Amino acid sequence: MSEVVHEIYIEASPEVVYTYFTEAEKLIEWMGIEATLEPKQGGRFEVTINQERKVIGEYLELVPYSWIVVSWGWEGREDVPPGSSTFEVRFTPHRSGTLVHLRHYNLPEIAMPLHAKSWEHNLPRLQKALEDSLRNGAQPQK
Amino acid sequence: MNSIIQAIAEPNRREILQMVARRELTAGEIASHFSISRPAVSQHITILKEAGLLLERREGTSRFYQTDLEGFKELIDFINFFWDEKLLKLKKVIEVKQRKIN
Repeated sequence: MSEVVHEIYIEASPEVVYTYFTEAEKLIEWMGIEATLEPKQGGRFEVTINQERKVIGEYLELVPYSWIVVSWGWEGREDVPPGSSTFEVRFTPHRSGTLVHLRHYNLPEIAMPLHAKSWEHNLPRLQKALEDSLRNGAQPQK
Repeated sequence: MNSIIQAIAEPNRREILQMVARRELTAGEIASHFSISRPAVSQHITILKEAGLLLERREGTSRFYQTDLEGFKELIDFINFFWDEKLLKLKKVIEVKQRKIN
Protein backbone atom coordinates (compact mmCIF):
# COMPACT_ATOMS: atom_id res chain seq x y z
CA MET A 1 0.00 0.00 0.00
CA SER A 2 2.92 2.28 0.44
CA GLU A 3 4.23 2.18 -3.08
CA VAL A 4 3.10 2.12 -6.69
CA VAL A 5 4.95 0.50 -9.56
CA HIS A 6 4.58 1.24 -13.25
CA GLU A 7 6.31 -0.07 -16.32
CA ILE A 8 6.06 1.09 -19.90
CA TYR A 9 7.92 0.29 -23.11
CA ILE A 10 9.04 3.25 -25.23
CA GLU A 11 10.35 2.94 -28.75
CA ALA A 12 13.47 5.10 -28.22
CA SER A 13 16.90 4.55 -26.72
CA PRO A 14 17.57 5.01 -22.97
CA GLU A 15 19.81 7.96 -23.96
CA VAL A 16 16.74 9.71 -25.38
CA VAL A 17 14.20 8.71 -22.73
CA TYR A 18 16.51 9.70 -19.86
CA THR A 19 16.61 13.33 -20.99
CA TYR A 20 12.84 13.58 -20.53
CA PHE A 21 13.51 13.34 -16.79
CA THR A 22 16.43 15.76 -16.68
CA GLU A 23 15.67 18.58 -19.14
CA ALA A 24 12.88 20.94 -18.13
CA GLU A 25 11.66 21.76 -21.63
CA LYS A 26 11.33 18.04 -22.38
CA LEU A 27 9.78 17.17 -19.03
CA ILE A 28 6.94 19.65 -19.45
CA GLU A 29 6.03 18.02 -22.75
CA TRP A 30 4.59 15.18 -20.70
CA MET A 31 4.25 16.44 -17.11
CA GLY A 32 3.28 19.85 -15.80
CA ILE A 33 3.38 23.33 -17.21
CA GLU A 34 6.62 24.64 -15.76
CA ALA A 35 9.72 22.97 -14.37
CA THR A 36 13.04 23.77 -12.76
CA LEU A 37 15.43 20.86 -12.99
CA GLU A 38 19.02 20.67 -11.77
CA PRO A 39 20.02 17.13 -12.71
CA LYS A 40 22.84 16.58 -10.23
CA GLN A 41 22.86 15.00 -6.80
CA GLY A 42 21.01 17.36 -4.44
CA GLY A 43 19.80 19.46 -7.39
CA ARG A 44 16.27 20.81 -7.55
CA PHE A 45 13.37 18.91 -9.08
CA GLU A 46 10.43 21.31 -9.16
CA VAL A 47 7.42 20.88 -11.39
CA THR A 48 4.26 22.96 -11.51
CA ILE A 49 1.71 20.31 -12.39
CA ASN A 50 -1.21 22.74 -12.71
CA GLN A 51 -2.51 25.93 -11.09
CA GLU A 52 -3.26 24.09 -7.86
CA ARG A 53 -0.42 21.70 -7.49
CA LYS A 54 3.35 21.98 -7.45
CA VAL A 55 5.79 19.18 -6.85
CA ILE A 56 8.99 19.97 -4.99
CA GLY A 57 11.79 17.52 -4.60
CA GLU A 58 15.41 16.95 -5.40
CA TYR A 59 17.54 14.55 -7.34
CA LEU A 60 18.93 11.99 -4.92
CA GLU A 61 20.80 9.79 -7.40
CA LEU A 62 21.54 9.92 -11.10
CA VAL A 63 23.27 7.35 -13.23
CA PRO A 64 23.08 8.70 -16.79
CA TYR A 65 20.75 6.73 -19.06
CA SER A 66 20.03 4.00 -16.55
CA TRP A 67 18.78 5.22 -13.18
CA ILE A 68 17.27 8.28 -11.46
CA VAL A 69 16.03 8.68 -7.89
CA VAL A 70 14.05 11.80 -6.96
CA SER A 71 12.35 12.90 -3.77
CA TRP A 72 8.80 14.11 -4.20
CA GLY A 73 6.48 16.27 -2.11
CA TRP A 74 3.84 18.95 -2.42
CA GLU A 75 4.34 22.67 -1.99
CA GLY A 76 2.65 24.76 0.65
CA ARG A 77 2.97 22.28 3.48
CA GLU A 78 5.90 23.38 5.59
CA ASP A 79 5.23 20.58 8.02
CA VAL A 80 5.62 18.03 5.24
CA PRO A 81 9.20 18.14 4.12
CA PRO A 82 8.96 18.60 0.36
CA GLY A 83 10.12 15.23 -0.73
CA SER A 84 8.30 13.09 1.81
CA SER A 85 8.00 10.41 -0.85
CA THR A 86 10.48 9.10 -3.39
CA PHE A 87 10.30 7.89 -6.93
CA GLU A 88 12.92 6.02 -8.86
CA VAL A 89 13.03 5.37 -12.58
CA ARG A 90 15.08 2.65 -14.20
CA PHE A 91 15.84 2.66 -17.93
CA THR A 92 16.58 -0.76 -19.39
CA PRO A 93 17.41 -1.35 -23.07
CA HIS A 94 14.75 -3.68 -24.43
CA ARG A 95 14.23 -4.80 -28.02
CA SER A 96 14.79 -1.64 -30.09
CA GLY A 97 13.73 0.69 -27.29
CA THR A 98 13.62 1.18 -23.53
CA LEU A 99 11.72 -0.37 -20.69
CA VAL A 100 10.88 2.38 -18.21
CA HIS A 101 10.33 1.02 -14.74
CA LEU A 102 8.98 3.50 -12.20
CA ARG A 103 8.55 2.92 -8.49
CA HIS A 104 7.02 5.61 -6.28
CA TYR A 105 7.28 4.77 -2.59
CA ASN A 106 6.75 6.16 0.94
CA LEU A 107 3.22 6.94 -0.16
CA PRO A 108 1.97 8.48 2.03
CA GLU A 109 4.23 8.27 5.06
CA ILE A 110 1.23 7.42 7.22
CA ALA A 111 0.55 4.28 5.20
CA MET A 112 3.55 2.44 6.59
CA PRO A 113 2.76 2.73 10.31
CA LEU A 114 -0.88 1.95 9.56
CA HIS A 115 0.21 -1.13 7.74
CA ALA A 116 2.53 -2.16 10.53
CA LYS A 117 -0.24 -1.66 13.07
CA SER A 118 -2.67 -3.82 11.21
CA TRP A 119 -0.05 -6.58 11.36
CA GLU A 120 0.51 -5.99 15.06
CA HIS A 121 -3.19 -6.49 15.41
CA ASN A 122 -3.56 -9.50 13.14
CA LEU A 123 -0.46 -11.54 13.92
CA PRO A 124 -1.46 -12.52 17.47
CA ARG A 125 -4.85 -13.58 16.13
CA LEU A 126 -3.27 -15.65 13.41
CA GLN A 127 -0.90 -17.22 15.91
CA LYS A 128 -3.80 -18.06 18.24
CA ALA A 129 -5.81 -19.58 15.39
CA LEU A 130 -2.84 -21.75 14.43
CA GLU A 131 -2.24 -22.85 18.01
CA ASP A 132 -5.93 -23.67 18.42
CA SER A 133 -6.00 -25.74 15.29
CA LEU A 134 -2.81 -27.55 16.32
CA ARG A 135 -4.19 -28.25 19.76
CA ASN A 136 -7.45 -29.54 18.29
CA GLY A 137 -5.62 -31.56 15.68
CA ALA A 138 -3.44 -33.18 18.34
CA GLN A 139 -6.42 -34.39 20.28
CA PRO A 140 -7.06 -38.11 19.90
CA GLN A 141 -10.16 -38.72 17.86
CA LYS A 142 -13.02 -40.24 19.71
CA MET B 1 -7.47 14.64 -3.54
CA ASN B 2 -5.78 17.85 -2.40
CA SER B 3 -7.84 17.58 0.75
CA ILE B 4 -6.27 14.19 1.56
CA ILE B 5 -2.75 15.46 1.04
CA GLN B 6 -3.46 18.54 3.13
CA ALA B 7 -5.15 16.46 5.79
CA ILE B 8 -2.16 14.17 6.31
CA ALA B 9 0.34 17.02 6.04
CA GLU B 10 -0.25 18.16 9.60
CA PRO B 11 1.65 16.19 12.31
CA ASN B 12 -1.17 16.26 14.89
CA ARG B 13 -3.57 14.88 12.30
CA ARG B 14 -1.16 12.10 11.40
CA GLU B 15 -0.95 11.26 15.07
CA ILE B 16 -4.74 11.15 15.37
CA LEU B 17 -4.91 8.75 12.40
CA GLN B 18 -2.37 6.48 14.00
CA MET B 19 -4.14 6.57 17.36
CA VAL B 20 -7.43 5.46 15.88
CA ALA B 21 -5.96 3.02 13.37
CA ARG B 22 -6.19 0.17 15.85
CA ARG B 23 -9.34 0.97 17.76
CA GLU B 24 -12.14 3.47 17.97
CA LEU B 25 -11.71 6.41 20.31
CA THR B 26 -14.04 9.20 21.37
CA ALA B 27 -13.20 12.82 20.63
CA GLY B 28 -12.46 13.25 24.34
CA GLU B 29 -10.03 10.34 24.40
CA ILE B 30 -8.27 11.71 21.35
CA ALA B 31 -8.08 15.22 22.85
CA SER B 32 -6.62 13.93 26.13
CA HIS B 33 -3.47 12.83 24.27
CA PHE B 34 -2.72 16.33 23.05
CA SER B 35 -1.56 19.53 24.70
CA ILE B 36 -3.38 21.61 22.08
CA SER B 37 -6.87 22.90 22.87
CA ARG B 38 -9.92 20.73 22.48
CA PRO B 39 -11.47 22.98 19.78
CA ALA B 40 -8.18 22.63 17.85
CA VAL B 41 -8.45 18.84 18.11
CA SER B 42 -12.08 19.03 16.94
CA GLN B 43 -10.97 21.08 13.98
CA HIS B 44 -8.37 18.43 13.06
CA ILE B 45 -11.02 15.70 13.37
CA THR B 46 -13.34 17.65 11.06
CA ILE B 47 -10.61 18.05 8.43
CA LEU B 48 -9.79 14.33 8.58
CA LYS B 49 -13.48 13.45 8.33
CA GLU B 50 -13.99 15.69 5.31
CA ALA B 51 -10.95 14.18 3.63
CA GLY B 52 -12.56 10.75 4.02
CA LEU B 53 -9.79 9.47 6.29
CA LEU B 54 -11.83 9.21 9.47
CA LEU B 55 -15.05 7.33 10.14
CA GLU B 56 -17.47 8.72 12.71
CA ARG B 57 -19.94 6.61 14.65
CA ARG B 58 -22.50 8.07 17.04
CA GLU B 59 -23.70 6.23 20.07
CA GLY B 60 -25.99 8.21 22.36
CA THR B 61 -24.22 11.48 22.97
CA SER B 62 -20.76 10.05 22.21
CA ARG B 63 -18.96 10.12 18.90
CA PHE B 64 -16.42 7.46 18.11
CA TYR B 65 -13.71 7.77 15.51
CA GLN B 66 -11.68 5.26 13.55
CA THR B 67 -9.31 5.49 10.58
CA ASP B 68 -11.03 4.92 7.25
CA LEU B 69 -8.59 2.85 5.24
CA GLU B 70 -10.64 3.37 2.06
CA GLY B 71 -9.51 6.98 2.13
CA PHE B 72 -5.90 5.89 1.81
CA LYS B 73 -6.74 3.60 -1.05
CA GLU B 74 -8.02 6.70 -2.81
CA LEU B 75 -4.62 8.39 -2.49
CA ILE B 76 -2.85 5.37 -3.92
CA ASP B 77 -5.44 5.20 -6.71
CA PHE B 78 -4.76 8.85 -7.45
CA ILE B 79 -0.98 8.34 -7.63
CA ASN B 80 -1.50 5.28 -9.83
CA PHE B 81 -3.75 7.24 -12.16
CA PHE B 82 -1.27 10.12 -12.19
CA TRP B 83 1.63 7.94 -13.35
CA ASP B 84 -0.49 5.92 -15.77
CA GLU B 85 -1.54 9.10 -17.47
CA LYS B 86 1.89 10.78 -17.43
CA LEU B 87 3.84 7.76 -18.66
CA LEU B 88 1.45 7.19 -21.55
CA LYS B 89 1.90 10.82 -22.50
CA LEU B 90 5.70 10.41 -22.23
CA LYS B 91 5.56 7.39 -24.54
CA LYS B 92 3.45 9.26 -27.06
CA VAL B 93 5.58 12.42 -27.02
CA ILE B 94 8.84 10.51 -27.51
CA GLU B 95 7.59 8.05 -30.11
CA VAL B 96 6.00 10.74 -32.25
CA LYS B 97 9.30 12.63 -32.20
CA GLN B 98 11.32 9.49 -32.98
CA ARG B 99 9.14 8.71 -35.97
CA LYS B 100 9.80 12.19 -37.34
CA ILE B 101 13.56 11.66 -36.99
CA ASN B 102 13.52 8.23 -38.67
